[in-house]
Amino acid sequence: MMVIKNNAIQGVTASSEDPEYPASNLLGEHPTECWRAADSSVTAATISVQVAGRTGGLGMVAINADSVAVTVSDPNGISWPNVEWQNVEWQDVPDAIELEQSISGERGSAALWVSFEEFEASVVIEIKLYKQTGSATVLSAGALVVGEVTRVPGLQYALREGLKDHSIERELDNGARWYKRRNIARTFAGSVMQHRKPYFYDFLLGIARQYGKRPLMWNLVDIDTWSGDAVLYGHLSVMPSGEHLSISRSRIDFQLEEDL
Amino acid sequence: MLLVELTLPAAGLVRVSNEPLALAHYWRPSVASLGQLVWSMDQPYGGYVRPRYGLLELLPDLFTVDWPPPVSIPVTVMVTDSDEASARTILRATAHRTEIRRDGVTYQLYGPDYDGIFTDHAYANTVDALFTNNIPLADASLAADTSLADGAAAPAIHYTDAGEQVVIESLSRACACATHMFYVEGSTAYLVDMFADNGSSLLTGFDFFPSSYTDGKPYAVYRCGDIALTGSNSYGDDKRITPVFHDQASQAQQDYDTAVRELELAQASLDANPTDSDLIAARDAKQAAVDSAANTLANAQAADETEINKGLTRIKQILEMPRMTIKMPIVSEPPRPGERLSWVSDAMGQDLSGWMRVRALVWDFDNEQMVVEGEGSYT
Repeated sequence: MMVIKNNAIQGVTASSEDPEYPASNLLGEHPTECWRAADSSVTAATISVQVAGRTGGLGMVAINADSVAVTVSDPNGISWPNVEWQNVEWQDVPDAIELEQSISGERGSAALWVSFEEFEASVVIEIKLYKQTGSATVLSAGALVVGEVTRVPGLQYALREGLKDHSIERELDNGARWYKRRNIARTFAGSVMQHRKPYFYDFLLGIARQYGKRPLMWNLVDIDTWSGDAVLYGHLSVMPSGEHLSISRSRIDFQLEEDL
Repeated sequence: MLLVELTLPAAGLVRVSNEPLALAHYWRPSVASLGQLVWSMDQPYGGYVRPRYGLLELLPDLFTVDWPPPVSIPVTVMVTDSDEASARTILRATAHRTEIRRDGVTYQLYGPDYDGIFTDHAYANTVDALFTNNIPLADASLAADTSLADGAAAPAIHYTDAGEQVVIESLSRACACATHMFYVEGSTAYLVDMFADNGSSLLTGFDFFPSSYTDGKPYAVYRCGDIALTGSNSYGDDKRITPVFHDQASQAQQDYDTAVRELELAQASLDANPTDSDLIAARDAKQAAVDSAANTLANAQAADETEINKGLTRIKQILEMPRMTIKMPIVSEPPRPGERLSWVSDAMGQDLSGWMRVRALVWDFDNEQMVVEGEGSYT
């Protein structure tokens, strides 16, 4: 499991934007308050992210596009040995730091995750979103986080995953059901088994106590070369607690809820 | 969906809701609570359909650039079923700060005031005519619409509202006695006969939540001044209607009393000089005046009785109708005051066919429902 907890973004701009949904919305805490391209005629848009400080990964959620490509400028000659993406069918293009990715998730809820060897420098990351010509889709994306990646090893299976429905449901006069759909958030609950030092306290104190219930960018997969629908922009819905099972190992339980 | 526009001093126009809404603009989920917005008549038998507003509670992070939260904020409350373009404005108000807490900033909402005043105002007309004449005195921007009023069926209003009066309050009392309701929408004040339908709608069982049917308090007698009308029940309290909305007799009585006093003086003068022909002529003139005043008084009393009985009969009819409360989902086009709603409910095991005319509307955003009240009938 991984989490990006420090946002190293200094600024973000987009080549096209709806003035009511500017690129700066990507830095807010509500993915529904998103960035949108100007209109559906825009088939490609570039989001330029100025990054400074300690950086080891990128996460973006609530993406509405057919494919993405990412370019990381390299002003300091940094190499990029490992890059991972969410979803399937990604392939390297000839330049090692330019990647393309098809978005196979549900429109408006696809997610992107890249983690790489951590560095500390100023770079510009360009995220290019594409869609098919003629499609009514308006390119858009929700929260974007770039920064230091904290790895939380020892994820235990089974990992529980579900949905929390914030909709309103009532009974009508004739007994039929009245349902007003509102936000439905993804939830995860599980535990990690790890060495007490440093990982247990990294999680309990370095993440949970430091950030509380503020939303963070999570990747719930514990394997570097695999990703999927396990990228979540969300918060700890309850403060985690654990047990010290032996002199050196501890288990900690966590619950996450998606922010919308 | 609830849409609220706030105008803050530094941040400018801010759009908020009680849920995150990505429409043409983004509506931040900064409304923690919005108390009930109520439109209801001053009297169960008519009068002003008066808006009453509750508390608006906003999350503190809304005021990041306007800290501390301003005392007074212009507010527009809208409702939409789909998008911003089809949103309906239900309230333009001013929010006045009442409390700052760590988890919320509370404001009391205040709607527009129609604060025109008149003094010792004499009403002497049909309800529709006096409404048209006087509503501009409440607020010069208001135009009257009396297309659904019935001045002929309602009693004429004839009395003086003494002293300094707020016009809208005085009109509310007068229109209630004439069993008419009025409401303001935009810049038009609509006067509606309590027995007229302001449009009609048919509801199905899929349109409303479980609802209740109540009966009003029984009244044995309906009174207005000295005139009384027996109720349909022999039990219950007396229902006193105020003010006495048709009172020609008081003035006629004063005129008669004056004429009698003048006759007595003339008679006394004549008794001192019984052969004085001028005094005899003066006494005869006063006698004629007394006879005329007595005739006027009798006519005035008859007119009062006729008009007040007319009014009491209509008031009795309304108060003795069953009352109903329907709860329904909040929609952007709610029923209008006076609209006739009809439905058939099978919720009680047997079909209940009902109708009512809308007299009160309550937007209850915190419970996601609209409460509609009125009187009508069911079988």
